[in-house]
Amino acid sequence: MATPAAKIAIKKNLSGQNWWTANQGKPAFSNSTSIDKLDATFQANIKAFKKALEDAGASIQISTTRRSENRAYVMHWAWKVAKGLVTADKVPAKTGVDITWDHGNAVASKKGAQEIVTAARIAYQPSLTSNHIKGKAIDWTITWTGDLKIKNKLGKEVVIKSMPKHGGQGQSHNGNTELHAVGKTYGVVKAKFTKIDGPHWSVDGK
Amino acid sequence: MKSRLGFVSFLFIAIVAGGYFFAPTFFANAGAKLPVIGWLDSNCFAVTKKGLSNGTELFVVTLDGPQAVASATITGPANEKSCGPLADDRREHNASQGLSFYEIKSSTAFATAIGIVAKVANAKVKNEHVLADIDGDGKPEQFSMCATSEGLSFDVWPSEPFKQKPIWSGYYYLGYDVERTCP
Repeated sequence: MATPAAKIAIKKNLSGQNWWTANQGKPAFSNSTSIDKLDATFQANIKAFKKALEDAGASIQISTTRRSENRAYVMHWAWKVAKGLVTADKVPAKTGVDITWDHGNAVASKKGAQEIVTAARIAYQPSLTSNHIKGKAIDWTITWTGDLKIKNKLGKEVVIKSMPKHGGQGQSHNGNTELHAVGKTYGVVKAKFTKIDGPHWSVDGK
Repeated sequence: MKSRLGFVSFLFIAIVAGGYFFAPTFFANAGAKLPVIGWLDSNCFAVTKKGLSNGTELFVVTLDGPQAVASATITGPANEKSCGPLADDRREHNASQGLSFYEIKSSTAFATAIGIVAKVANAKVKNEHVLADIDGDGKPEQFSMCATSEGLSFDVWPSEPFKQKPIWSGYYYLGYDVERTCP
């Protein structure tokens, strides 16, 4: 016969600093810098555009391709619980993410979530979905010197003499619009917002 | 004479091009006396000014919620352990903007803010927005923060946000996705 103490469920994988430290480096929670991790169609487009850039002598530095959906889930809900926007018992479970948000009381649950917010350096509410998560976006820095003689998707050479000599940096420097036009022929699109993310290109600009 | 004109032209182009390439912030009202401005993520102050000394005081406009005024003090250079913008997933882009990073202390807890290296005595809060004359032109500036798709845009405006060009802008690359709120 079970004693009352034995009936108390022991909560495992509680949210908190320890959970983040134990999991954030695992492949299921890691972002990628590999083009091979992108969605198949966008991947082919990126490879073709990248080859054209390299053939033209441009320098390329990739910082992010596909971002982990699991990582986004943990960061999103950690922020919401920590900020009191949702109670821990209302966080939906996600297949592949073994985490217990509800510590049994609100104070402990918020503390656990806040520990993840702090450990993950979250400064603003993360999104659950994006082109990066779908494998349809890339953050890369493209620079060159002199004129850039680059072939578009149709094989026509485009000579870019205009400034600036980069594909986008920071938030106000959206990069060379002639290069953006070339990228678009490959299905790699740069956003046209006033406030942009300089290195960000995607399937639709978002 | 011709070579001198050529040199002057070269200098002008170099300055303009240099600013276009490398300036992470920009100033629309070049005539006004803008103080040094940067942005904050908790205890980390990111600013283009190098060599700010320990004890330097900041006027702070907090932006993670209803805006409020606070103060902070620089306590030293920041490192990747203490400074969110220097975390692995975002250090490269933030550092490449030519920013310097400082640790600060403040009696007010905040997540995101704009920091100004100046004493601003005439600030007030109206409808949850801070109004403060930071450039001494007699007119109060206003402040905003909005999300791009993977970063935050910090702006100082000569009047109502997004009605004119900002007089200062800063960008924080977060390294993760957020819902866009910037227009």
